[in-house]
Amino acid sequence: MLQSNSLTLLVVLPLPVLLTGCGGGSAPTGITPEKFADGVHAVMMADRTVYATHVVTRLKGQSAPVKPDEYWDKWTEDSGDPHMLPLPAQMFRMGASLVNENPDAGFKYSLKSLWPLNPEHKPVSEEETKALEYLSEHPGETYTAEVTDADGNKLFTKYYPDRAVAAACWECHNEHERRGDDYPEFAKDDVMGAVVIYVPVSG
Amino acid sequence: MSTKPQWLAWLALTSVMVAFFVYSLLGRSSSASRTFLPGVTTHGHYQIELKCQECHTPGMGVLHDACTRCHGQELKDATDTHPRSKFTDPGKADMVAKLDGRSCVTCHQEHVPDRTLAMGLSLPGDYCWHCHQDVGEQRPSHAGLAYDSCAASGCHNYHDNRALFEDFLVNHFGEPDVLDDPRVPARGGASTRNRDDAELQPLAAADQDSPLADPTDRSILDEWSADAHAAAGVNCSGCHVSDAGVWSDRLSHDACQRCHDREVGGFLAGRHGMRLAVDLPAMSPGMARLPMKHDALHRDLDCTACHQDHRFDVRFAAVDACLACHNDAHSLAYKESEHFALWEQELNDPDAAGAGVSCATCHMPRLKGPSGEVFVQHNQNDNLRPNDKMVRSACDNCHGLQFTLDALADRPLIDANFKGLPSTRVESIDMAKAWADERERLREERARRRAQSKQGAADTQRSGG
Repeated sequence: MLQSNSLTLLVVLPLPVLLTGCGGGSAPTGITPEKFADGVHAVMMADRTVYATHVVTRLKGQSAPVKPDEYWDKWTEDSGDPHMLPLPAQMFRMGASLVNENPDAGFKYSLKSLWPLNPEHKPVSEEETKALEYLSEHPGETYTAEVTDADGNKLFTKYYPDRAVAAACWECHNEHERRGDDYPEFAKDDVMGAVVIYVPVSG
Repeated sequence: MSTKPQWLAWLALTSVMVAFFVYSLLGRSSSASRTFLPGVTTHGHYQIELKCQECHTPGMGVLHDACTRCHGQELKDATDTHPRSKFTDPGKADMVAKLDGRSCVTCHQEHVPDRTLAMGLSLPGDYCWHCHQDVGEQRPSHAGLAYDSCAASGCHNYHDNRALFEDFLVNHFGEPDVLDDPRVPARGGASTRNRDDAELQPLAAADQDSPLADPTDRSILDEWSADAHAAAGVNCSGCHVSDAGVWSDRLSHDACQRCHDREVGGFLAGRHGMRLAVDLPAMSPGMARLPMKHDALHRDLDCTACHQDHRFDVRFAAVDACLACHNDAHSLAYKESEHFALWEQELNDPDAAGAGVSCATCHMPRLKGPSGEVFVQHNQNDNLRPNDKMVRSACDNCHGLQFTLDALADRPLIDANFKGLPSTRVESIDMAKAWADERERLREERARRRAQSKQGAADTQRSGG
């Protein structure tokens, strides 16, 4: 009889990681902050793409009674339509909040844009603005930097282009009432912003 | 003259002083601890100010969970607009330098009465400006507004904006002052008790199971047998016998909590029960900072202070129990108000169930639980600060949003217990509606331009251009 219904997540790490600290006289090896960031970014984007494509876009296409809404957590039966689910960007940010609050995670991440629907997610430093502008001018490329957080810790930082992967993304942003007047019209695969991953580095 | 007696006197006096200070420091919440209070505490915490260890480490630092232990769930329920996570993004170091929202004590320091504003805010009231100074560019309607006007009732709160977010305001635009069929939801639905009493049968006075040779006077049996507990099959032993099988004449809230967990939890979270929650003697009106009736100053606040001992009349608890102690202008004006007239009507007319407005209707509102059950929020402070938390928990059962926000922003009207009409007009709904209409106009314009450019491209293609 099964004692638990929880799923076991098997993570296969690259060989150098598995060998880290093993005997045999070889010097310990490991993955670089950048390699680590690339790995977690791959997972994030896979989940984000699945949610945007197979949940949100699919529900929109079906004219389902449940729809994405930025105030998904504030509506109730008594105050409006309670059948709401988080937008893809909110889903992503909620995950970021959980990770950023988790001391065991060992890294942080966020989502930024030069053209966000929520002004709070605009770049807040010169470095961020520079990085986002670089990504929009060089589609397909990434941008790396070292930033210092509020506590003075040094962080390897990598900006990855966040692209329009599903119709729900560009249609909603192009049509949104909170869209800035100077925002571009987005289409499939356009860079709409950046996923930013921060990995602590010593020194 | 010998100096020995003087030395002995000095030694004795010094020993007494040292003993007093050691006792003050180590004694659990003794009034001697007041010696070490660095300043008057806020209205929210003065009841427990002598229990230093509730908030402080032994070295008088602030416990990392001092605030969230009591307020964490409240923030979660409020879908906090400025959660800690908003400030933990490493890219926001510049923002954190302006306002470190990762820590409650950035805005809510205790023991600093000379610079503490409403709701325990110990920062100057223009703190929003540091991060939102460009709001005039995003919202032209906000250009030129006073730096400290953001948190005026009906506009914004730092934490709880459940009744103030833009879509909500727009959704409720144009509602009448009084809605059709104004009444609160009926209590009940799914079980609100945490004890399975499905097997219990209604009881009569003769069924009482008190082990006492003389089961007290007749009036207790009469009250109990006419009450909801007997009707629900709860006998004397159901309350008076502990889980360990011991009979007690006097009961604490623990006995009630065995069946009414959510209600007692709410009571312990509010000002009536917060001292009991931290193992201090019960709150009494004599300790209160609000005006209280003189003949109530000695009373202790536990469940039976409002619900009486054996006759748990919720209608008594909803008004008379409150007015037995509270002596402020708002409470004293209640019986002159339209709300009270509606309450009297409800007491006398079964068809008016839920249409009356008692003290509890607003201050201990009926809320919907996760299974759709309707229960009474027993934390009567839950929707008081800021008072627009009352909109969704109480007012919007009966009133339109504009009327509600106007009334809640009108201090003299609140003191008069809402006798009369609001003399202010909160502009937030009009602003939100105007902004939404403008955005809609621009959206339609963009859609028209998009259609025109598609049409132009198609025409060019057809003409072989």
